[in-house]
Amino acid sequence: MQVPFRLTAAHLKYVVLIFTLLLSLIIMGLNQREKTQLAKAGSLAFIPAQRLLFYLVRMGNIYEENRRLRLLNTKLSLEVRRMEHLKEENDRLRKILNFKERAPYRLVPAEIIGRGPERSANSLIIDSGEAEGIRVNQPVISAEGLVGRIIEVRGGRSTVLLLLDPNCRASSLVERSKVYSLMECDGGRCYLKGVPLYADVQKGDVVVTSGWGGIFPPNLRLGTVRRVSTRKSKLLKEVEVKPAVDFTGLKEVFVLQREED
Amino acid sequence: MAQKIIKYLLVFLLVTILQSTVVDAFSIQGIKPDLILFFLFYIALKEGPVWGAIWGFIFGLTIDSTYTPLQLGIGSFSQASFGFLAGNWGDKIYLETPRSKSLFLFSLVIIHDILRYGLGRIGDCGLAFWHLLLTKTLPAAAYTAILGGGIYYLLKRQAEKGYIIGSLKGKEEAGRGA
Repeated sequence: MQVPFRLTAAHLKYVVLIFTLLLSLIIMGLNQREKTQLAKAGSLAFIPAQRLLFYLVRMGNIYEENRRLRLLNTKLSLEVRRMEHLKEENDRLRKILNFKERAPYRLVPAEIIGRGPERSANSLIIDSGEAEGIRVNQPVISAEGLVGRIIEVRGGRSTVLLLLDPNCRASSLVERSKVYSLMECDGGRCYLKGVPLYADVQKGDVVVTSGWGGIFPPNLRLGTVRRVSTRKSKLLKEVEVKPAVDFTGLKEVFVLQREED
Repeated sequence: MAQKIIKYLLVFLLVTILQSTVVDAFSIQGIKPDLILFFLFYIALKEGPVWGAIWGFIFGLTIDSTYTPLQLGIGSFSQASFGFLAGNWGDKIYLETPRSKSLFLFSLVIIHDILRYGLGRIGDCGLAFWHLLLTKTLPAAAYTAILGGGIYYLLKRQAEKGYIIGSLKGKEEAGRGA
């Protein structure tokens, strides 16, 4: 009997290609929980090695960083004293106005031990995890403003999805004119979505979180308006925002936890 | 074979660590070369399209698992395609000089990124997609290609001087014999 089809070396390469691409498509189709479980197994070997090298690289800069941090510490101590005074004043005024006190937050410091190697990667690995009470969706900030949110906690480390990622939208507020919108980043650029043509938004306006989304608390700095463009044919303004955080230079971040967490 | 697999895995681990640590220091305006793609390119040219696709799949899946679990599958798809194309076309195109390898690498990085960003937004090839390609992919592809070409040039020089008696020289002699 004649064999209708014989697998030759020329066919083998296409079989392998189709197999790998199909497998990739199947993985892409998994739901988020299944993807996370699969990802846990896939990343076991990487993180300890990367953590070690990160520390080695950072050892070289430790002296200069120490000097800089001392200076910063002094400046911040002065700032803290000033803030304490303002808080006392604020508390007093709140009591007078019978304001309901907003949920207080605790800051958990975390060091960045890994970055996504992909050029467009919008994630960080930090050295705090379950033991520190880190949970999915907790906001992550730096001194400059909002960095992103926790998307995964694995033992002693967590993955932060940066604000730069299209999946990390933040409900926002233009501080000056109280215009509410949604900030979304894509391709390294951030925009305010849904800003009506009549809204008062100008270049240089400060944009903060509005607290509406339920994930990010209000008044975290998101950035400043870089450009506002209005087209007659459109119903909405195009507002580009320059993020407050320099994502390339991040070294330490803080995870925001509600006191009840 | 097992030795080779272990060797590639170890080099991949090292390259990934370098990519997410040391390479940051060489970034120009946030643009950095992609050592992982360059390493995959090297493997694919050396081992052919079958291994190019397999290693691309493994590299992509591992990186997505570690850093972008929500995008699992996209990296393996784009890198398997990259590895396959490098291995497959690498056999058909004249790639003797570092410059030709560099140009070939440049085009493949662009194809890889089109696949990656395209799949990331499932058909939504809006303004942001093209902006990403123009501002990130093109400069990064050029940077990777220049670096890759440089490495191939150095390897060629070393081989000519006789410092490397491994695969490069072996290949040349095999070519002359044929």
